Amino acid sequence: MALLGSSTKTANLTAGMLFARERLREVIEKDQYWPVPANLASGIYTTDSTTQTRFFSRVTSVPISASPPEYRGGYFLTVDVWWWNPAPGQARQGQGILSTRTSQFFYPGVSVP
Amino acid sequence: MRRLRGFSLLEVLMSAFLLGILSLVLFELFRAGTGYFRVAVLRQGGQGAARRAILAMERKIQQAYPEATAVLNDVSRTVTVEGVTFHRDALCLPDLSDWGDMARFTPGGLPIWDRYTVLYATAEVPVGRLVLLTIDPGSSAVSGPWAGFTPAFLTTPPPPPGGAVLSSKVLAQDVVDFNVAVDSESFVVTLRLRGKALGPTHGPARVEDFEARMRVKPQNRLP
Repeated sequence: MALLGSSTKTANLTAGMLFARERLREVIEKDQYWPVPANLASGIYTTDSTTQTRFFSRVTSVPISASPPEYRGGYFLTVDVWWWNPAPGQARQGQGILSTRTSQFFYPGVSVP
Repeated sequence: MRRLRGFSLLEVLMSAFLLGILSLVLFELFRAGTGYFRVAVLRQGGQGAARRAILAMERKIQQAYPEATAVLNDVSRTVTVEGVTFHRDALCLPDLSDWGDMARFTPGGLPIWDRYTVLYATAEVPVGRLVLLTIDPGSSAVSGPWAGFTPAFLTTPPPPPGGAVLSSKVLAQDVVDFNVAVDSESFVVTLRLRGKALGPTHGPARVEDFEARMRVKPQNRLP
């Protein structure tokens, strides 16, 4: 199974990046950028037809004080996602970093393409 | 007189036996290696296919006008595979015949809608296909949800009233689950694909699922 560790990690990283993007959009669309909601967990099938990999996310929001004046303040949103496969025999040791992160500036009321 | 020394029959048999054992071990190692490689290729292909389909749908949904979208995601759009219920939902979006044609936009830059796009997963068991249809509604204006978007249309597509199905494209094969939920004016789309490959060990083929999710909001408007 160790030989499949690399492809498992790639598969989880891809799903993790999509999950992080989905969370970022959700936080913005539901006006949850301040204060941010608690950690969220979600199960996604990445390499197994019967066991979901558990993805966890944490959103961090930092108010931006040096915004352009016309934007009247914004936030720097960061979503950290980390994951774990609950199947037996899975060890974190030797697998490297099992997490990903995405960030975005957000100005409420301003449409940024 | 010099005495020629050779190997006894027992020695030859023993070496042949040991060589056979060694070859067997090497062959098994090689077989397992190719098996792992097959699984890795399967994962790469499955993830790529799921991601490509998600990105193609994301663009279509983002370009759409929210008031003219429609979703079929009730119990009639489910299938049961080995005792588990999966969605094979459908989504209908307004579209443009040519996004590069300036004549299809108002001076204010809003699209003058003239097509519908239907995204749906077929109901075959255990796996279906994710299909994208382009519909010409004919003379009827594209200002609201398409009247022809019904469960009956998806099972046996009749010619749309006053128009035609212009093209049909398969976005993904081996679709297990295609779930479209609506949440705060956004579509939350989950696509799950299933792949099979001969694994590194003896026994049945290895089955793997690849799931991708996206959250996207239709962001266009009527002229």
